[in-house]
Amino acid sequence: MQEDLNTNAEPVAPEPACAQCGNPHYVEGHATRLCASCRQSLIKFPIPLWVKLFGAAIVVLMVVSLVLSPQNFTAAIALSRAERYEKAHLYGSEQKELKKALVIVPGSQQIQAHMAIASFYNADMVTYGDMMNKLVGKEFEDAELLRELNNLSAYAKDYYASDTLNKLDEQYKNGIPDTTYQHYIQQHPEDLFTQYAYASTVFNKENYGKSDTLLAEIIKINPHHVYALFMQSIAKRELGQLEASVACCDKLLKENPEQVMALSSKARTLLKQGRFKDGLSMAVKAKQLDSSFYYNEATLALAYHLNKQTRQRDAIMKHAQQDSALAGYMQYANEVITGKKKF
Amino acid sequence: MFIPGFLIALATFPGVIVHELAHQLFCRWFKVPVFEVVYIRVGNPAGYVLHERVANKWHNMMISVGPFVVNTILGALIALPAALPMFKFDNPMPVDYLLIYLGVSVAMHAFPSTGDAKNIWEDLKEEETSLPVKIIGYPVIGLIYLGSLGSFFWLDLAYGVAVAVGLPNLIVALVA
Repeated sequence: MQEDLNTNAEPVAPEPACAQCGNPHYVEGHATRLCASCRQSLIKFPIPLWVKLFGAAIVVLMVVSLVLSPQNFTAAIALSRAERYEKAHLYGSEQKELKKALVIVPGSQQIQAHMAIASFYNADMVTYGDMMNKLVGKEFEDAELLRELNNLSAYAKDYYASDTLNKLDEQYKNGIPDTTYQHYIQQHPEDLFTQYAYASTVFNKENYGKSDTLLAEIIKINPHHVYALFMQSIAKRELGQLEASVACCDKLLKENPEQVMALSSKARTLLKQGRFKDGLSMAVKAKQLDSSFYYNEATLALAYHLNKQTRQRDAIMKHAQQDSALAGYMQYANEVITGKKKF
Repeated sequence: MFIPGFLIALATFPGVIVHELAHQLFCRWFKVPVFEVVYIRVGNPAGYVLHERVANKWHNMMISVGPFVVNTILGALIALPAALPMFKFDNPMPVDYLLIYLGVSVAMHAFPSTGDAKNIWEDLKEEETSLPVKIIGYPVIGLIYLGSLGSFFWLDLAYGVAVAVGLPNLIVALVA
């Protein structure tokens, strides 16, 4: 609030003079008679030390605030974009944005919760598990977010090995025998991870027909099982059921149009169908979403090879020679490229 | 819920101090002598600045509404980095609570008081006051009184929260 000086209340000096010091030489043309010196000193009416200190403290806080804000803004913008991607089911883009936000605010419950959702749909179960471990026991104000996380938890058990399976794995050093798997699955039909592990074993023995049947059983119980659908898309491709292979990928892509595993597998099926350009563009898209997915590096090498883009193909092959983990995934592509295997 | 004004002023004293300091600094800027400044006290008004009657009507209006600009900008800037960890990330640090309290306190005291409105009113009543000053001045007075009336319904607090919390989230939503 501000108030005017009530000039009527001023003591009337016998002779016109400065109201402050009585100096007869006051400055004309103002509401209050003040000499030049008093006018100047009142214009610069002193600010008490405690107010100055208070102001300085606020300025310091402001500076701290402004130094901190760009980082927080970057994280908040990334989180907002991630939330928008989540609504559009673009979980690949969502996870990319959340990674940026988590670097700046690693302890944010909100970012961790969204990261759990995105990584689950991207079948990145390592990140999902990591995020869920951080969220355990925490209170949630956002009931909708909590409901979504609880829903995912119900499905997540299908992606982790049970204690029994782990014990069996330890017991059989050279791999769990088929009969043991079959017996266990008969007794525990709800244990989809063990069924998936058995289907993988059969798949690795190149028994694609049986693997396809086992995977179909899993998908009957959990139609969203990303790993089962992904493996079934490969099994169907190997069985020459190319349309069915594409259908498996499309099921995954319907739930997450940026599901890198589905994009990469579909790219291979398209290549097998002779749609080389479509296959290449899909593999490139998958690479843009996740450059660390080795299976797609091999798909990309195949796509470049079939599109006669040898320079790009050789660059991937050269890189694979320096990366032992990637080399394993490149074996099939390498055999196709060198003519040892027919694609 | 009714809480006496002096209690609210005491609880949000940083805003009162900034408000009065803004009046004083605008007086200094327009070279207007100041006779007394009360930054905070128990009473109504919680603070005031006693200054010479200003001949320039624009200057007088600026001195009256100056705190609105200063308190709003300062409140928003102080709360800016704290609003996001608290309301977007759900991950506030103790300093964030302090910054939000300060930001809301400062911003909620942005509204000029009815005393400030009366000050402008005195100017507008005068015949020699130019038309542009009147065109701007009357709505300003109206808004000040509306704000004063609204403070019975916590409009000042709502404004403080909107500036301190809503603004950063709005900026993020627009940029993202």
